Amino acid sequence: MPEDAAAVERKVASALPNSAPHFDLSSFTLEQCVLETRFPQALTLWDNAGALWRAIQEKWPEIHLVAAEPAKTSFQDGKAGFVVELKAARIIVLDSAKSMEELAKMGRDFFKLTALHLQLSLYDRLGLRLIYFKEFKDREEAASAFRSLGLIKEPTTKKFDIDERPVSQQYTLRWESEKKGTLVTCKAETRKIDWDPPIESAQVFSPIHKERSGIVLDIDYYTIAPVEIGQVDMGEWLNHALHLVSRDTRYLFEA
Amino acid sequence: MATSTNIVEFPSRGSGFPVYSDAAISSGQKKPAETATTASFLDVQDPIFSEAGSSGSQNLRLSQNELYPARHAFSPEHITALRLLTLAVGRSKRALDAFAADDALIADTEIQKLQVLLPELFCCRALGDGFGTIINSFMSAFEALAGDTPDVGQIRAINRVLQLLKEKPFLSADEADDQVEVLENVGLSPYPRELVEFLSSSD
Repeated sequence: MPEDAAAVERKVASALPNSAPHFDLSSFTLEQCVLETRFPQALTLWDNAGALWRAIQEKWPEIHLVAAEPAKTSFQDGKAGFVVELKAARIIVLDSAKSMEELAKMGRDFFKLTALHLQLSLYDRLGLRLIYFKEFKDREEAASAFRSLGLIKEPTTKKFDIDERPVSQQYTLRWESEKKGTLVTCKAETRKIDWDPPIESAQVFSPIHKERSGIVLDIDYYTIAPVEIGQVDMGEWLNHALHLVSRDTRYLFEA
Repeated sequence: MATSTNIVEFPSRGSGFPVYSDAAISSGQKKPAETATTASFLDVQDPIFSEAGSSGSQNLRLSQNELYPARHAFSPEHITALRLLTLAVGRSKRALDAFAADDALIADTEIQKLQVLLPELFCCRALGDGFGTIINSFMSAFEALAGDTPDVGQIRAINRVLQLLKEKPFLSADEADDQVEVLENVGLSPYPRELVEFLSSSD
């Protein structure tokens, strides 16, 4: 990493909270958003993949091919990925590269074209997965912030001959009816990046050795009972799913 | 067992940057089925399990209310269409009941009330080509009736198509064409008068 970049990194780290004041979902950054449909095996992908992607490319000319294999085709536009497989199609947006309004519009058109070209009549499953991250100074701070949420009961006495309090806690709950489900996971996590550039590009790239600690909130809202294509507008469904997620995850921060 | 919506997972093999979470996932290592994900959206590694594939859920279907449960999240077209279609289904049902009770006057009144909903429903055609096609075919059918009350078989068909549209407002143009045929099969004329005239003049 260049020296000035490293200095910026240190400044950012020192500016991170030392204690764990009250926080809620608005203080998290949305790292990843996935809108996905699953369907019975669509063998028409083998016949119509070209026509499908040509139609998609007419709508978003900036997307470019990433991979094309018999069972899976994918395109990309910056931090947005589009995937069509034999049994699923999805849009992935990283780091909020697209607003939710944009994603709703993209979802509406992308999945409509997919259903048309793959001649789908039924979706097995619709899914919206949102992964949020809030960074803290170090692993202990992340663990302390997680503890302040009061989601799990930790032993307060020494356990396993270790004086320190637990870190990397994880809380998972799944709600499921016959028709719909939601999986909520909240965890304190530390991510390590250890990357050394290949020798031939070491003059251009600096090594990266970095650690990021924080809380990850991972919410997967999905349908279980099949839905007919004519019932679904993925843009509309996304808006409803987002509304439910933002309304019903508030309880996590109410301790 | 349910799986999760696929994501781009850390470590992302496509990025070339080895990023390890403290969950000790090494590159390429598969996670349990509960959290089965693709390691990268570029890779075809993990099978996708469909939790909807269990036989117990095959006979279930999600209704519009279950699929779109948040009142504040509706688009104006969607909520308006659902409201008007509910009214229209109710009116066609009451017309059928009136016919069953030999009350042609009430039946005619209910059908007229149904007819006045169509222009506003047509304003919701942004929902899709299929939706616009069906509403347009209703308008043409009523125009062709020139004020006459449809017969029981025709009202029954109207009621069925309205119910289908209420449950599947985003249906495709092809599906809509099938419903237009349903109306045609009971003697209604679901095509615009101008189109019929044009086609007959070209014969």
